[in-house]
Amino acid sequence: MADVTQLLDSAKRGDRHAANELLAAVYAELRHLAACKLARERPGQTLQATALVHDAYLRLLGQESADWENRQHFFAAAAEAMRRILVETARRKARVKHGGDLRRVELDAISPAVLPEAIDLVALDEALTRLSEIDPVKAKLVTLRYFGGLTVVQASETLGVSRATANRYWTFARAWLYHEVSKGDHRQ
Amino acid sequence: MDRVQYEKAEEVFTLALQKPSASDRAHFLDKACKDDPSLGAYVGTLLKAHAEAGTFLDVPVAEVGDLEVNPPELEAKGMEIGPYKICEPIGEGGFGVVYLAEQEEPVRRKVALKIIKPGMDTKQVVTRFEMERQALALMDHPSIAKVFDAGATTTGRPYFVMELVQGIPITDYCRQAKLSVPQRLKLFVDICHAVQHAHQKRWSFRNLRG
Repeated sequence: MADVTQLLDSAKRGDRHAANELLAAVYAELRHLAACKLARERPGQTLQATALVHDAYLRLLGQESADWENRQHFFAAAAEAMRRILVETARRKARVKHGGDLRRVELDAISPAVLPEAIDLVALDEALTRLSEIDPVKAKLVTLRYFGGLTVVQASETLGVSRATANRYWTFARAWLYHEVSKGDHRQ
Repeated sequence: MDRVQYEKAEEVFTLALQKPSASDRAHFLDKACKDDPSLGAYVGTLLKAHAEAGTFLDVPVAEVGDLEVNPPELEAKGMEIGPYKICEPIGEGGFGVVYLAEQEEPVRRKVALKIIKPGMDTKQVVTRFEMERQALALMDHPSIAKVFDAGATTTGRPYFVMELVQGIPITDYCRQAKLSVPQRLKLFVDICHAVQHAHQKRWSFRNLRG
């Protein structure tokens, strides 16, 4: 596995290949950690997302404290990886519902213990992907906040914008996504 | 959606929200969008969405209490996948595992069941796995294992079922069977024919079994 510190250095300098590799490494690590923790605990146990990301961080970057920029990039990759894992699980669950034997529903991934307002993660993910095509900064903001758990302030630092700007972006992005996600419901 | 429309909508939306009341907002919308009523309508729906969104996205999904970790689908002896009962693992590749399995219906026999490893079912891997299954299904040669069946587990992990071929390394076979040189050559030719068959079907093998 490539040295994650090197990947971070390349990724922050704009190397897209490194950014993709970084994402893959973080993604694999999060899944691996989730499975390991499960092996030690009873099935159905809950697990702290922030602890998982923290552990992935330590395992991939070692005990040495990476510089601030590297940390930011890492957590951005972790948020993106978390989004993929959760959406994949949601898609898989949806497939199971629509056919097939429901006798044993085993899912080899992590999923939210409780979804507020029964958010359709798949619909949100699709809307977020559409948003990233028109406005990648706002899409990244949403990913950092919703999937990475960053506060608006932390996200503003990662994105390199002022707090006020981040707040404005958040207000608009939320409305836009809510509209996009609700549109789909009416069609059904 | 058009980027230009999007940016205009964002601008009008943000300005509208600065107005103190709903009626002020409506008034502002009319004025700002008088030359572009469809923009006005769109921003109107966005403002409505803003009002109705409630706590939408407010609580990070990964922070809502905790995440549930569900068990990875590890195959264990006796576990059933479709009509097949798993006996024991007999082989492993990069992304798949092969099990010795028992089939009851419509015929009783032992088969080889190849399934994608848990957590490996990304789109790319699934596509490759499917290609492998199709490649094997295309083959029609006594030296190449036949594909009997294909399916997916309840969680969507693909698998396919093959003729069980109990093989040992070809060199061991030749030694144990005390094959003469001409016999070994004939065996080699048989394998070449099988590979040629596969090549004619435009596939190549990365691991030949004797």
